[in-house]
Amino acid sequence: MKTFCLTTMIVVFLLISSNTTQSQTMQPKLNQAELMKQFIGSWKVDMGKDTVLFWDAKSFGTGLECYYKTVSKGKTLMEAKQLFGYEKKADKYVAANLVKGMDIEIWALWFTSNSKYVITFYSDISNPDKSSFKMDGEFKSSNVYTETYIMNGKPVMTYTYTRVK
Amino acid sequence: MKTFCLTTMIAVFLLICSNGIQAQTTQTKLDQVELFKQLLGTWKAEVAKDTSYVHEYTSFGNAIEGNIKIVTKGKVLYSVKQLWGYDKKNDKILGVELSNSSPEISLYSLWFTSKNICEGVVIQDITHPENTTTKMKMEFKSPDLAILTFMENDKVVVTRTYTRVKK
Repeated sequence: MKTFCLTTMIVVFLLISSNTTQSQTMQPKLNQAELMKQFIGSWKVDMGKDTVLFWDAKSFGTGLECYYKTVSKGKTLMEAKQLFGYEKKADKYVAANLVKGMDIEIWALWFTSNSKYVITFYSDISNPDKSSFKMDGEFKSSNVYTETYIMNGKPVMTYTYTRVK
Repeated sequence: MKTFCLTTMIAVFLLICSNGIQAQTTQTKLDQVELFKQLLGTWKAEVAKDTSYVHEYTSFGNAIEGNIKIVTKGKVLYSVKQLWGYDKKNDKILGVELSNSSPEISLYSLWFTSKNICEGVVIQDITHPENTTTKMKMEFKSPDLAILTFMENDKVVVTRTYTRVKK
């Protein structure tokens, strides 16, 4: 009887441990398309020295069509267009970033939690921490998010985006 | 004196030949950005009765923005947005395409192999763009006529003839 009780206890203990481990590792997969919708709208960043960045994101299919510009004292300093779309194979969003007059850049964006995301060059998605360019983003609320630019592993700048519309 | 003359003649001949070969091999590098501008404007291809593809390309700096509509009997079936820009590292044009009817984005790499022929691939893996089964070719027969061909495993699967509607 004593042996039976001990065996039962060990089995129950192992069962409980196994379930706990499973629930820790089997987190629900993030719905990247749904999380991307947080970006839809018009946003503004105060960059200092009378310079403001305006970023507009419109929904198109399951992607985003974006336009941004930096304006200083009523003068447009830079403007750019972006197109974000989902790539199933990588389970990430892929974007073309086109700053007027510059070469095209292909980025990847993916959420790592409901509020945090990473942006890097598409060619560096397998090792974003070793990329020469990485952005760590975080939605602080539905109306505010921050982006920290990381260059060669070091944070160099953080911008705060505030919803305008 | 006779030997000197013969040696000089051989040397001059080799010099001329060498210059000729060099001129043949060092062809002028194609200006991919400039050649891609042939696409600017509005193009139309009839694909079935009452159904056509209408491609509208506008410039954005040195880059090109594309808006494509598939129209049947005046009704837009679906629309596609594209962004194309130059990639200096590979001396190629890179582009993305997003449709309102498909959940996924497509990535392309294009390059002109001559002044009127543009070849390209669908990039399935940007780290290995050569690993692709889908290839394309755009041939500008004239400034107002272009033929687009898609190939799957080197077999032609689609051919469309585009006529310029607007410059």
